[in-house]
Amino acid sequence: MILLSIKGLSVRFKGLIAVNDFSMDIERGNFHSLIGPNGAGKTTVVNALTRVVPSTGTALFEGVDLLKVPAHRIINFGVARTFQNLELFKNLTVMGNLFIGAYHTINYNFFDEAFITKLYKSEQSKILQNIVEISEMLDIKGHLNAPVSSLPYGTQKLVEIGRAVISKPKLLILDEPFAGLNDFESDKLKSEIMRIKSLYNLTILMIEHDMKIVMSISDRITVMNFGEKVAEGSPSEIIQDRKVTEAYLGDRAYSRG
Amino acid sequence: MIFQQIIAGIITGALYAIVALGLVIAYKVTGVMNFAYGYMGMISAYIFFTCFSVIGMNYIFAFLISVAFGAFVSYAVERGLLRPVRNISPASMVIITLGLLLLLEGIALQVWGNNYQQIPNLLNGLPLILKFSGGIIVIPQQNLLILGLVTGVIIALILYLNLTFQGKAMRAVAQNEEVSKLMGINSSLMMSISWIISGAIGSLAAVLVAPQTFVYPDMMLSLQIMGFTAAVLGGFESIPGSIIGGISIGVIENLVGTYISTNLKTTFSLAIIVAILLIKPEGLLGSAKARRV
Repeated sequence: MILLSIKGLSVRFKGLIAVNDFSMDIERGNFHSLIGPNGAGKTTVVNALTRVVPSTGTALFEGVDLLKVPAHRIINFGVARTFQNLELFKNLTVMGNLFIGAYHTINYNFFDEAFITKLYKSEQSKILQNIVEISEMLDIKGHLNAPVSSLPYGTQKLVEIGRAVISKPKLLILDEPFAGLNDFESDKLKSEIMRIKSLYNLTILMIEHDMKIVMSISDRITVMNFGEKVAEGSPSEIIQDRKVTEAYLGDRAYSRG
Repeated sequence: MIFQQIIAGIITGALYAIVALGLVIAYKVTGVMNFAYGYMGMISAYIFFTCFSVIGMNYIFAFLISVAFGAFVSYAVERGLLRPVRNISPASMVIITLGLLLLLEGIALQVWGNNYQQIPNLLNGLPLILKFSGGIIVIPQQNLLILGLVTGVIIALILYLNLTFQGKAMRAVAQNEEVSKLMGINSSLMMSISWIISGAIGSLAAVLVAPQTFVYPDMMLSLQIMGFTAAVLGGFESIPGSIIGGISIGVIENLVGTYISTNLKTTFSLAIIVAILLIKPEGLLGSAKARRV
């Protein structure tokens, strides 16, 4: 069953065509990777989907066209993401960041807070329980009260993933989650992502450069170059696609990591 | 004597502090330095004057109306004048607030004229007198009211920003608007709320200071300048910084006025602030790598 169906997506920046007539279907429950050389337009596709940049085309997500939804409503339909360069709230603690991640699940209002109503108490403990559960799973529970800027890079990445997962998304978009991690951290992150995926029944769309990880983790791979889709298939199909390997991945990509 | 001056300085400083606070909260969330801030408050003071002295309303009722009016004006300015150019040019938003300053001054002159209008104090009872071995301190009731209201506003604001989910969301928008949106935060609503709060605080400051300054088109000029200075001294991004900045300027100004020269008090205190900023350019509580994206 298809969860997200992108059709004819185009993004233009002042005459420059960043993404041109891009189409892609993501099956529910799949681990779908989006790969391609730098500047191919992968992040722009994700930015268009999450309404960070304006675009044309359609992106049907369970019958709703995401491209017609304002950015702050996207998460209500079940789409959450992380960013290529960490975009945490640096002045907040890990707890604060996770709380903001759970923001859209809050259904008490200002007066419930002011008068500390029953609803407020029960909701607050539910959110707290979620925060604890997710931080335990990602092994960041010990840092809950630390300001995020004081944590090492790899841990901050986990916090960002936690912030996306706590919103209970159906589709989790990861933008280069493995960039800048060493082998040990990569292996750890990989198993954590797989665990979260099965536990929360997530569908994942991942942008990644590390081909070893992409090949081992993905159910399906889409290859982009110059803003267009050039190939799509299972990892074994992509490996055998000579056009792809020669023109877009190269020998270098295989020897990485 | 010195205690009396310090207390008087704290009260003047409290007014500087909330003006700084109002400027900073709008700046943190929307990134606009509002140069028309004091003048928006001045209009509210005139609304108070009209409601109370001309129409003859109840003092407290007129007070509430003028603060609500100020909040509305602030909302309308952000929504109507600044939002449309927000994504085009941040610099032009500052120019718009400067234009607004002149416009509001002109409106006040046309509608209410250039006369100094008087507003009575709300509390005119016997001043509070504290006697102790070091001397005697006299605090008029109106000043106690100012101190009480300012403290209340500051506490309410800090509780709001740190404890409520809306306040946390507002801080998130201040730090990263794009990401906040993707977390489901309606950033445009948060910007409106920040200006509503800012406008209400500005009006409150204007109405509180009006019995001392009288009401006239430029009544808020010095309060606005000192509020800016307090915000800069505090680091412009920091709420505790604005409070400390405001109160220290108030105290410095009063001490300079008493012991050095009344005529030089503004000049002298600004010189001290320049000196502080030379040593610590990011302000007392500002972060050195302050950036807005």
